[in-house]
Amino acid sequence: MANLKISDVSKRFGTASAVRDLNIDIATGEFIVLLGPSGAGKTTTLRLVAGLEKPDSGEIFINQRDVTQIAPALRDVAFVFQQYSLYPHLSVYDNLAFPLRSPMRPHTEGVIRTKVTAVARTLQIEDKLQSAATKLSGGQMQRVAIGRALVRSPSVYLMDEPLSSLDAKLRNDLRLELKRIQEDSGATMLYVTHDQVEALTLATRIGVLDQGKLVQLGTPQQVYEDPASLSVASRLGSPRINVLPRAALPHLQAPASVATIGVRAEHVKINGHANAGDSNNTPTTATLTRIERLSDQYLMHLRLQDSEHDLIAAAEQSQLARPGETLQLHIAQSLWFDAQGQRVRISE
Amino acid sequence: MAEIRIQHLHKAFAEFTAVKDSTFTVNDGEFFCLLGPSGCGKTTTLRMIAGLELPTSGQIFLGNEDVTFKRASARDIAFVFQMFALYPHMNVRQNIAFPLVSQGMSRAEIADRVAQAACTLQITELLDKSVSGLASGDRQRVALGRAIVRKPLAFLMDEPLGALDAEFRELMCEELRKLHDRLGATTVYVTHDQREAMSMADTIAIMNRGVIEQLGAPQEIYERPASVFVADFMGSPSMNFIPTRAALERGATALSVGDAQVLLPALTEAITERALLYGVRPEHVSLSNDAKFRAEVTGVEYLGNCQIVTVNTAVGSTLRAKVDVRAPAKRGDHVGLVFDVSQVSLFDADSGRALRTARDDAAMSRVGTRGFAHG
Repeated sequence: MANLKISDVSKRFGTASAVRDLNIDIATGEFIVLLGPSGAGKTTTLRLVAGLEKPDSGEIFINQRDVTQIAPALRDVAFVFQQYSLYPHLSVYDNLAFPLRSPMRPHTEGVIRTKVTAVARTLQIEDKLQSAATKLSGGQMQRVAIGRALVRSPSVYLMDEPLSSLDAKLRNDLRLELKRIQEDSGATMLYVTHDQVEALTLATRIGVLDQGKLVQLGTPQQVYEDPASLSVASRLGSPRINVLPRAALPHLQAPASVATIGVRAEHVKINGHANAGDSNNTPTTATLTRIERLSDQYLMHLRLQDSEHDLIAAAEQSQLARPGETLQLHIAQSLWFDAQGQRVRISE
Repeated sequence: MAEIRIQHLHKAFAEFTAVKDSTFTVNDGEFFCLLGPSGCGKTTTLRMIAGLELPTSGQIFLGNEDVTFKRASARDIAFVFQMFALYPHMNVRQNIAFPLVSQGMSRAEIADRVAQAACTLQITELLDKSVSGLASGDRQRVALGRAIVRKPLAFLMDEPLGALDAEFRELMCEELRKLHDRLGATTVYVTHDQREAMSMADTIAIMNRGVIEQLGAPQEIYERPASVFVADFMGSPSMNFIPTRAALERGATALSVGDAQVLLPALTEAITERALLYGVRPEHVSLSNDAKFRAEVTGVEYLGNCQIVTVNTAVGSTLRAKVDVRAPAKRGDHVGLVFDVSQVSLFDADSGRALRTARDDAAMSRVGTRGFAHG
């Protein structure tokens, strides 16, 4: 187990800047999730840490040791790819044992057996050890791929969307398992995904990347409740945050620099009781256009009467109205952004 | 626009039965979703409506016309595929106009229709651009434009959003539904994604192994699933099932699970001793210190507007609870569980069918009798 420091790292491919001045300090035992759309530089970052790419500038430290110029095999990191690449001619046992039999890290067969059995138990694939790797289901194969990383107990785990090729149900189960394994083993993890649910549920801290730059780094709560920019706010949360131009909510008092207002669906209250005397809670009138039933949530699609802008409110069953009805809303909480999409905070 | 009536539709590929004796009606102007896992027969059903497959038996009516054995081109419908193929050598305008040009429509009318379709889809400014430079969302809109420009009797869509990433899919779902609200066109939409179906459909037919397990409004299917399959398929995280075994009298309102008791809405009919599954959705499980039904927290997942708490119960099953973000829960905590009795389902574990309770009777009298296609 180790800490990891990425210091001023930049990487270009031709004229395209993949990673720009990236700085992340990762403590031992942290689970860092890099979140961003495709092309944000997430995978490049992982490959830089692994040593599969060389940075144009900057340094990478694992346990205070500068590994920037060191070969991948000597960095003591394990990489799990999206596409589990198992050795098809080997059994599950031999697949798991493979990294331990590498000439660079000699182990006796007795030690190997102990380690492989322990990892197989953690991943609940003990009964599959003698099966051929190709006889497994997708979920089992991905477990073996993760197991092959675990068995080495490296300093740092690097995972590139390891769950994205699995179906929804399996993904839910493995997600929880991965979190448990990481917590129990105290492993340091750098994990890449474009799935906001994985980021929120797995991470001790989320790093949001956009066009090669780290836009925000914080706990899931910080990133969700206190986003640094409009793009971060839009990336997290389901349903997506409502984004309205300043003029759509004239009653809301906000500084002059505010161009855009973000309101999460759970903060749009329908016919709620505004606190008397609080001018920020002046009700707004809207027409209900449609009710969407999303699992346990009722999403009320509303059109503001003054400005013709649409927004979505998450409602309780007891608040249901019919499409066409006019409702009083109040905005319990809102996030403010300037014309460049940066957060505007109330000055203390 | 027209309704689509499917009667006793059956399709076998050699030994394999893809669709079994399926009967349903898509109402005029309805957004109808065929939902199910891969291999359930949803795409085969759609392809038969389109005329791309011929049924082994049964009938398909489009409006009042029997189209069962008509060629695809003789049916007045538009098909939108997952992999939307645009003509790369034509610009957006030519792509959208293509179906009309091949019908031999007059130039003036074509120009009119294309302008109208582009306006509906809000892609007017793209009309003279080449399709090769378009973003995936715009390509999708052009493909839709090519479908709506013909003003067909119905739209058939086969996972049109399947190739998009999650975030963009959510936006397109909203856009598709808004488009539907503007056009009011009869739409049959195939997907394996329950979330897409829940968010767009007026009516969902959920299929399993060639059979429609349940047909109804999204809310109805979600709240009162007719079978374990439906209950498990709809919702994320899916419904919790607690297995037990019991004989129950008519009107019974409680059930023993291990040494604890759980409550149910009054059972409509008595049942002999059998294996049962007590089903409760994560949002209807709450944590309470003094509840009798005990469990240990094995995981907590923060989701911004809620958190999912996974627990192992004393009777050995794993359950998930969706609770407020402020609820204190951490791994290793011992908690009691409370189930919202007005929202639980009870299933016969062997047949997988839901057992009727007072809940169904209350709901039936509220919405009328439409909805359940048991079978």
